[in-house]
Amino acid sequence: MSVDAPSVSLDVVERLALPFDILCDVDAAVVRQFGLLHTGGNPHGGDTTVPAMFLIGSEGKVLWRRVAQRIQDRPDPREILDAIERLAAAP
Amino acid sequence: MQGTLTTNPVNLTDAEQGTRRPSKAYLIGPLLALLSIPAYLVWLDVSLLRSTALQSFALMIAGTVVGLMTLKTDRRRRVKAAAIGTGGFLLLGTGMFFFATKLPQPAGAPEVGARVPGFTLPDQTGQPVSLASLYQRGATLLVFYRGHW
Repeated sequence: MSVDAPSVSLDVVERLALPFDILCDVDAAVVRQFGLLHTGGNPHGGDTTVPAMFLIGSEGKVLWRRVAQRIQDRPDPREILDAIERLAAAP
Repeated sequence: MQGTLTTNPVNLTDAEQGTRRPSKAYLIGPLLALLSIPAYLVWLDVSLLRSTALQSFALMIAGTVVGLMTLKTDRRRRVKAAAIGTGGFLLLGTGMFFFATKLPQPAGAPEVGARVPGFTLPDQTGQPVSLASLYQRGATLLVFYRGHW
């Protein structure tokens, strides 16, 4: 999900042929709800989100998370897949 | 006395050669340092290099070392300026990379084990999607990303 308008995200989904949906939190309400607001973080002056990932189990609880400390922090896809595999293997 | 007489002309020739063919070696340092920018952008997709910029720091440090080494044998003003500029670029780059990119710390983002807040948001086609409808079908990776611009 991002704070982009649906039309922007539709373009991204189509261009990259993404197999998942992008949720559109245009006024950053959910970003705020999750405590991830980066005020003025968009280069055009708007608010955006701190980059973050939550792996959520079927009861709605966080199983694993990563929250960026700096703009360039991104977990390696391998690290995410490892976390998913480890949690899937756990009882 | 004779020793100094024989070495002096040799030194003179060296100096003359220096002025006849001014060395451009002092440009290597700044060039290496500037290469750190394209080097960062080229490997933006490699998470380790994106988060650490190892290759860019290596280039900026190498540029600064080369600049200081050049300064040992060539004391021209432009050589000094190049060395100072390269060192300054390293400091500026370090500052930008580590401090200007710092993000606000999450205030109350759900920790591991905590329940996530429920919400419903439109997807890219305008269709409303509730978070619960996603994780009830199976474990869900929810990614907050900064958007496209």
